[in-house]
Amino acid sequence: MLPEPADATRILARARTGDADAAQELFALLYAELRALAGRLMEGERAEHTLQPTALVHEAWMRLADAGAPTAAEDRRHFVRLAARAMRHTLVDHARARGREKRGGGREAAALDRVLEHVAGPERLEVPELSDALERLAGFDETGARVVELRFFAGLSIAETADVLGLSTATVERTWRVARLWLSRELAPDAEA
Amino acid sequence: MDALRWQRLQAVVADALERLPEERAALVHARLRGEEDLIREALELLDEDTRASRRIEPAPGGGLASLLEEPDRDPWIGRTLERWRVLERLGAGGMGAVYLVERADGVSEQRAALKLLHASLAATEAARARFRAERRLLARIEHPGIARFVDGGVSAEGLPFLVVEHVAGLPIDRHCAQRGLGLRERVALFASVCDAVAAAHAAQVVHRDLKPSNVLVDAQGRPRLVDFGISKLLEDDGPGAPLTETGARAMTPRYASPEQIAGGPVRATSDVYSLGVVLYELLAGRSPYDLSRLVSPARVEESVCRTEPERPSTAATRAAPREASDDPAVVRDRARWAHGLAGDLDTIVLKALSKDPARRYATAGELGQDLRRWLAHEPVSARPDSTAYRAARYVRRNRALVAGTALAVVSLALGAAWALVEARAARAAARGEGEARAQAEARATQTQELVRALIHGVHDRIAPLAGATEVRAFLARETLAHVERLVGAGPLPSALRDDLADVLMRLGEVQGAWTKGSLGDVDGARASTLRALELLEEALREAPEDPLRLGRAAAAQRQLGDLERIAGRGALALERYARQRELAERALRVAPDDPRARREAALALGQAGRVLLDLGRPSEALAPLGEALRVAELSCGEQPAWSESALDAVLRGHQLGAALTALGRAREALVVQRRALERVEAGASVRPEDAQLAATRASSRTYLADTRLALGDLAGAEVDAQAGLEIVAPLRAAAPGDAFLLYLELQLHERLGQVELARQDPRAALAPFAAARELAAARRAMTSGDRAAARDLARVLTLEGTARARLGQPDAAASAFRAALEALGEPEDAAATEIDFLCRLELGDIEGARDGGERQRARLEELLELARTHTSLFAELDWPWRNRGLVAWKLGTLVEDAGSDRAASRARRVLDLEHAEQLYDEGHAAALRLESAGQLRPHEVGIPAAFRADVERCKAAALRLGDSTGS
Repeated sequence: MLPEPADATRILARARTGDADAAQELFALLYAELRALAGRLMEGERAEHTLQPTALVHEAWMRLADAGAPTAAEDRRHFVRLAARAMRHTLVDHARARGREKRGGGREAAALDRVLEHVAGPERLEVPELSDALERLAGFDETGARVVELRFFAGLSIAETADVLGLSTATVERTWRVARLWLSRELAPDAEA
Repeated sequence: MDALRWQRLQAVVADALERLPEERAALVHARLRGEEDLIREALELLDEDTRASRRIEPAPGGGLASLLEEPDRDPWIGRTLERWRVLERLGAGGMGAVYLVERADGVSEQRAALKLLHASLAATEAARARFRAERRLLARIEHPGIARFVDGGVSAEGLPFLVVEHVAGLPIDRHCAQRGLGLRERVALFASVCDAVAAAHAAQVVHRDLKPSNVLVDAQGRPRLVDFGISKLLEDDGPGAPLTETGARAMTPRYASPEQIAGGPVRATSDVYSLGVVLYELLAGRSPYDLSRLVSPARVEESVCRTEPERPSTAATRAAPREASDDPAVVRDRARWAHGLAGDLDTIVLKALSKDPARRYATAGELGQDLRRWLAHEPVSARPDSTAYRAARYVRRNRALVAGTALAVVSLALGAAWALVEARAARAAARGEGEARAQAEARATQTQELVRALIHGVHDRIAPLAGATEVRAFLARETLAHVERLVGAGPLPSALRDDLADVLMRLGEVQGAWTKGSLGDVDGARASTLRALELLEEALREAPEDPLRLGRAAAAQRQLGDLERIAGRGALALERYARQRELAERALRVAPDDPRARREAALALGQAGRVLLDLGRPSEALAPLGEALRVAELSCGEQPAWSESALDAVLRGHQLGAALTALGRAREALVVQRRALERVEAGASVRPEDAQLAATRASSRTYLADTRLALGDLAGAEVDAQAGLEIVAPLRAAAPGDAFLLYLELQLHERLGQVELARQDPRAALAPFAAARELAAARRAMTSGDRAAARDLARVLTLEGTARARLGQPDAAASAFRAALEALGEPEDAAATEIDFLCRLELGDIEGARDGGERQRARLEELLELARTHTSLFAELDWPWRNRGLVAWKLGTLVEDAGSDRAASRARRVLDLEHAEQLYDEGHAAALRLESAGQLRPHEVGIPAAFRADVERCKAAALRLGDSTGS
């Protein structure tokens, strides 16, 4: 449940100035909101559709910035970074919960299934494992991990990722290409974590 | 992999990727000449690129470009969409942006608002459907109070848009505040808002998201409703129509009706409720809810669906906490304002805000009419709730408490009956001996029946109800008073004696055996249970092999064991459980198939295992816990989805899992804990009303969270703890005095804090730890003689102190640690000892940083001695070894520093270096011990090697110094 717009703007502004509490608060809000929004977007959605994470992030932003207060560009970048992280946690937690209990969960769970399916792609990647591997990658390549998070979990393009992280597109492209190779090797069935 | 190596690897691999596959190996070899490890790594990564499987592809997305670009670079501005030219961006709504547009075809100078569905959302059928629906709905309504539908179309890219009348105005709350409108003016303005909503209702449309920002007031003071984005037709559009779903989440919680929050059907009366909230805010100058509580879904539900708002007139007088909606006009002259509100306006607003839709105004029109009657000083249609109605509501909300009242009546009747029997007996005694005996027996029988009815008929039936704890306490006190009188009346017939023992046992349970919803009176519980045991033993002296009484005596021993355990007297508890087992086995010899005796025998093992776990002997606990679990699971097979055996199996699973985790076998523990959770969930699905079962569910989540924490699965632990809290919250609300629920909730908050600590985010851990601390303090205050409560408080304080210490707040940390030590007192078991040591160690660090040098050395030596004692007391646990290694290392570095002090004599330095070497060696041994037991955590893997390096360094330094002394 997102706060009223005025609060959201305040939280965003505080988060931008490096207030860790505000960032946490926003993250928690986003985490809850993304799940709820998924359920909403599912309304009337047909079975063959998958849900795009970008649509979720976008809707979350729209709700946050409701009332039309134009928010500084840096706030929006910050928001996208947090949203990607929240999306990642949402999907990983959902996948883990799915692993524990096979059935049920209503519209929200069904919606998250779709998002998960969309993100996992035709290769049907194990999203929690990927997320764990990403955590390991972050141990020595923070930027690489951020790039993958934004690209993979929030569906950002190379250019958007570069904008959000304040890097050149060439750097993002190179980082992305090598990081995904490393991750792909980590996910190899014979690789022991 | 370290960051520097990775950077080099990344550069080479990225460059190689730009070559043809067959050229890559050569480039890698050329760039990393001779560095075999890096070359191998690079080639492996490049190999992944040619593999077809496992490719990590970005999720295809609709792009967030519009979100990231500057508003003034909005590409839509200046464009023409069909007949409309986009002038500026007015804002962003729930589904897209809203622009100010003007007619581009020169037909008129009309300006309007154009709502554009966002690109990334246009892809979802649901969003498009909602958009289409808004068009369709708006086209149906024609009313001056509703922003008129003007046009609709599709952009060149295929994005649908909608053009509506542009309202240049302020949200109604800001309008009222800015103009400083008085009470009557506000009511008049709001009555015309009601007219507009009524027009929509008349067209069979519910708005569903009425809030101040959707009610704009123009410069002439005319209100206009906007944003029908989530509105709904009153009549269903037929099967499959997207808008027939409730769509409960698409609303603003602060203004949503209880049925919207609950996901129920939404009708015109839901809009009446939302209007009621807006009106309340306009008149009282504040929200009917505590806004700080509207941040989490659970609290929203609690506030909106259950909390009755206070009268607007009362709210207006109260000094509001700095609230955004505080309205200067209201604040200026609170008393006069409140006077105007009191009476009919209060009644009107509260009627609109009824939780029960049937008690609200049926339509917005009726609300508007009543407001106009008030303006005209006519009697309004709304009536305050009648006493009978309020009583009926009270009964519905507080079923358990009402049951308690009924009990009190029963109990009074019982007392009256007793007095009557006494009087008769006295008369009979006056008449003659024989008759007196007959009367006495009749008296005994009657009382026995009453007690039985009270205990079996009432107590057992209300026990599983949420909120029954206090009723049961009352019942216990009353019953005890009767029992005391009976026991005082001389020798008892054996049947009555059995019943009394039973009553006393249950009394003990209510007083102290707190998992079943208890009062936390451990000493009282022990007294009652001991008395029950005496009565049973008396009976057993008469008939030594009576299986029923043997089973009861075993249960009494168990209850006493439980109470000793709670009081922190593990050894005594073990004795009680051994006697319980003896009695149960005696009963099994007489009646081998008796399920109760079989259960007692297994329980005796299980409880003993639990105490062994508390005492820091988990490997001894494994066998009895495993056996108890096996017996419980076997009995489950013969019974329905939820039974006493199922509960036993769940509890044994928890404890077995905890023992495995303590032994560094968390993976196995996870399997066991999951099984426990599955079992309890299955039970909950057939018995959703059972509060005890629900509490056990939450308890399962706590254990799972523990296991996941041990495995480093922080997200998983967080999910479990959250899930547990969601279960506990409503139970706690229903039974605020229940010690076990308090305990559960504090544990769950504590886990959340631990997750944050493990995430290296001590700041985020503070809030959950503070919540846990408050609960722990409350629990300790309500229990007497419960050591576990004191230990919980100490543990939470210690964690809080640790978080403070990591945040660089040594003073706050030190006072937390001191408070923890004070709460803890003399540690009596492994868990308490661990907390005690941790506090001393952390306090030592904080104080050592201040006074340094010699005092710190003495302190660390003392701590090392203590740690050594702990490793021999609790040899198989991991923390004593970890502490011993840690202190040895701290002391070692201190001593090594002294040995490097060139001002000291050489002989002194050699001695110090040798001492440091010994200390590091001791740390090394401790680390190896952890390693061989599989108790080394992932981030500690390098520690044995680090200690070895420390040892070698000191050895070499001592040798060098010794050599140069000799030469």
